[in-house]
Amino acid sequence: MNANNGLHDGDAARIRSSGEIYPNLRVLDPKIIDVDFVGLYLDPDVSVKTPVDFADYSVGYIRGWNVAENLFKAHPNAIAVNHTDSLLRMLNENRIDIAFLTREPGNYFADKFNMTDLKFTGFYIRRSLHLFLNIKHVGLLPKLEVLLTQMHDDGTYDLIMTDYLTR
Amino acid sequence: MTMQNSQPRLKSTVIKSVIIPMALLVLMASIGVIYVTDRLSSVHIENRVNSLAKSGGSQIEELLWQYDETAITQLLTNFIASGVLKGAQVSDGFDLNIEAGDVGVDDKSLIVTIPLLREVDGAATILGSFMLVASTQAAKTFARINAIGLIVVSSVTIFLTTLAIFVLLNRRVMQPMLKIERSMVRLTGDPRAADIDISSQTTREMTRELGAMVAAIRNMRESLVQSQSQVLETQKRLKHAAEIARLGYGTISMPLMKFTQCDANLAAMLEFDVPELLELALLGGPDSFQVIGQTTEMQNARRLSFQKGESVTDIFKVKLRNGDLRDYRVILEPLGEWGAADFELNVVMLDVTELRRSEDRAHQAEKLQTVGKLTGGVAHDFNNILAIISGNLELIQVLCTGDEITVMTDAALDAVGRSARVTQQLLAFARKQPLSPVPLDPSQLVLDLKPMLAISVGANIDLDVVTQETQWLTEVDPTQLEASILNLVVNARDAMPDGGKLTVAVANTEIDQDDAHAEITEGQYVCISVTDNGTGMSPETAAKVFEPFFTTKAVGKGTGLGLSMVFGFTKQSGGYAKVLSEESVGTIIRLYLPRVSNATPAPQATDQRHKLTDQDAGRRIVLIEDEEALLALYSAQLKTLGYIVDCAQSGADALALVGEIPVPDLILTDVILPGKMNGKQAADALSAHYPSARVVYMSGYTENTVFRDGQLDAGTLMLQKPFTLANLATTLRSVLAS
Repeated sequence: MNANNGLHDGDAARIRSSGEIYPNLRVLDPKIIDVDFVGLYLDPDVSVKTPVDFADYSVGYIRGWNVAENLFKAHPNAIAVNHTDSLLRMLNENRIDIAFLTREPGNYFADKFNMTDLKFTGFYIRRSLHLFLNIKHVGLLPKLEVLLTQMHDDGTYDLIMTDYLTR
Repeated sequence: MTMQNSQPRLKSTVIKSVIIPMALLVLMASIGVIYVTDRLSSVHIENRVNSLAKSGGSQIEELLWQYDETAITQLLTNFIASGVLKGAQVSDGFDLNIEAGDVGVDDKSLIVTIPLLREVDGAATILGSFMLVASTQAAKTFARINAIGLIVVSSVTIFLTTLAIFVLLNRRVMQPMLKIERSMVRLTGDPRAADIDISSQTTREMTRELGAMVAAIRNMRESLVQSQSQVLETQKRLKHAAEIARLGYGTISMPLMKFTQCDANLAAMLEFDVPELLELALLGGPDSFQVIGQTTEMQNARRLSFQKGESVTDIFKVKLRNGDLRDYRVILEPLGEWGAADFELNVVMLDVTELRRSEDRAHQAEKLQTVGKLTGGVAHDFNNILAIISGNLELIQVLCTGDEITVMTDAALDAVGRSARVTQQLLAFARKQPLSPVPLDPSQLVLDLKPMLAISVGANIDLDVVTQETQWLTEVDPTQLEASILNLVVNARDAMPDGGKLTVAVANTEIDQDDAHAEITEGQYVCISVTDNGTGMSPETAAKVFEPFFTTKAVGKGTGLGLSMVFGFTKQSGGYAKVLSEESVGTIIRLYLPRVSNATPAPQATDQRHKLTDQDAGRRIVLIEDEEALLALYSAQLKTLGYIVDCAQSGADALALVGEIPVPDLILTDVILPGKMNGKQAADALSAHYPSARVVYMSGYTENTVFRDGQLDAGTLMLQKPFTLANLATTLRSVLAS
């Protein structure tokens, strides 16, 4: 919202459809990263290969995530939480069977809570994330798209993200 | 009606009855409100905390289940911010412990802790606990502040409401009531000045009931003013009536023997002014008045009446400071109990002195009139007897000769003459003597009489005669007047045995309205007074001097008929006789004779008597006399004189002679005759038949028709019985010759 109102020059890592919601944002066409929304679990008996399989388990997800909200809106035993660490802590304390989260943060919190047996469901949903500029910077859009494409092509982008993703 | 100072005022009563109770009620209600609010605040805070625990517990439980410490912290902060809690704590019993606010506990803290349960796999699992800490003190303080605020607002509201009620009550009720009260207080004074002064605005604003009361009071005031006016008018009339009646009013304190109050009339009657009389001790003394003639019996009788509470009416004779004797009719009304220290007598007093004197005079006059009638009758009969005796003696002298017979008959005739004078005086007193009044100058008569008076009084008495030059005339019988004056002078002489001063005075005088009374009317009079400085008389003696046969002289010295003759003659002449006498000082007797106007004095009477001759012999006389002895005597005397006599004993007998006898020359008749006709009627009847006959009457008594008030009609001839033969002859011949 801040970016839409011009308080920020832009925002990062939003799905493309966010531009439909915020009229003052203009998306950069090249993605900056792909994100996998996946179920994290500890119990080895859990098996989710299709969205329908979530129905057999208690599921937690981050409140406000459209992907999760849409996926579990009919789920009888889904719980929305505010914070990622709360979600992971609930999973660690067996308060939920599956924590629906993105893959990379999942690994981060697994380390944080010493969750050595953390597993990922076979079912996941991948989304490309894009950068958005406030409309006042729309003139920079073509240049930034070119530069971002070049970064992807010359490996600069991967170099940066690998460092981020591996921390 | 008087206002009691101890009675509360209207405003203070209203304040005490309304405002103070209301203030106390508000105070008690405030205390109650504070107490209840205090209690309710405790319950309220418990309920709030419990409610918060209940409602917040599920949220906390959910957030704790989610390990959302941030949300829990925020929620607890919100709870505290709501003002209910001072602190809150959520704990999972292990490492999670979230606190917000002050969770310190003291004796004024309310702590509620609830377990956070969650059903996991069909079993309740304790996730942790939720502790809520609230401060009751704050809640109570808050509640008390609220209560105090409420009380303040309520008090102000009540005060303003009460003030409004008081102002309204004051304007519509109390102010009119106070004005009514002030007016009612003034009613005790002059009600005419005590109208209820209420403005038209006040009248519009006051209640209907007060309006009706004001109207009723005004009506009452009008009635009161009217009644008072009537009372004042009645009092004025009564006072005026009392003044006209000369009634005096006063009150005597018997223990003090002093007047405690009196009016000017009463004081004036006693020759005092009011302050003097109120200071006067009523026990007598030279400076006081004296009630005289009071006996012990009279005083005891009055005392008995007072003891019974009965009023007493009596006549008191009072001797005033100046020596005057006055008669007062007094009504004494006892007030209180006899003998008590406050026993008083109401006194109503009326001066009846003049009334008593008039009554005395009337009584005296009545007595004299009664005696006069008696003596008149006696004298009439006695005169007849004397006439018989004297007539027969004279006949004896005519018919018989001899010195011895003459001496004896002269002595007898002298006695008859003295007896005749006595009867004459009796008749004079009885006002029954025949009078021959003529207009005369009394001064001249007295001057003519002076030599004889001087002889009568003697040398050792200084006689003085005082007359007026311009003397009014009076019409009286001169002979009787002379006799009266002579009588008075002789009496005065006898009152001065050692000599003295005797004055006969004649004066013109007027009796005005004040001096007139029943015995003498208002008008002009000739006053003949005889004054001596002799022994004088007591009041009792003076009151009796005109009574016949009353004399202070020694036996044989007086007949007691002198003054009675004077009195009778004066009254018969239309006058009045008055005696003023003081013992050891002297006596004044005054004769008041009515003045006559437009008259001239009659010439001095000359002796018209003729000598007894026989020039009328043979002339005829009708003699009418009912007394048989007298008829025989007069008949004999007439025949002796040579007349022819036709006798009759009544008028009817005389009329029977008409036609039987020749025409008479004279009719000689007694005035009083038996039968239907008296002497005058008989003479008139005979005269109708014998118009040429002259008429001569005989009488020893005047109470008959020939006399007008004792006076002879003009031209009427009268022979006063007893008469002498010479008188008879002279009279008849005089008549027959005229």
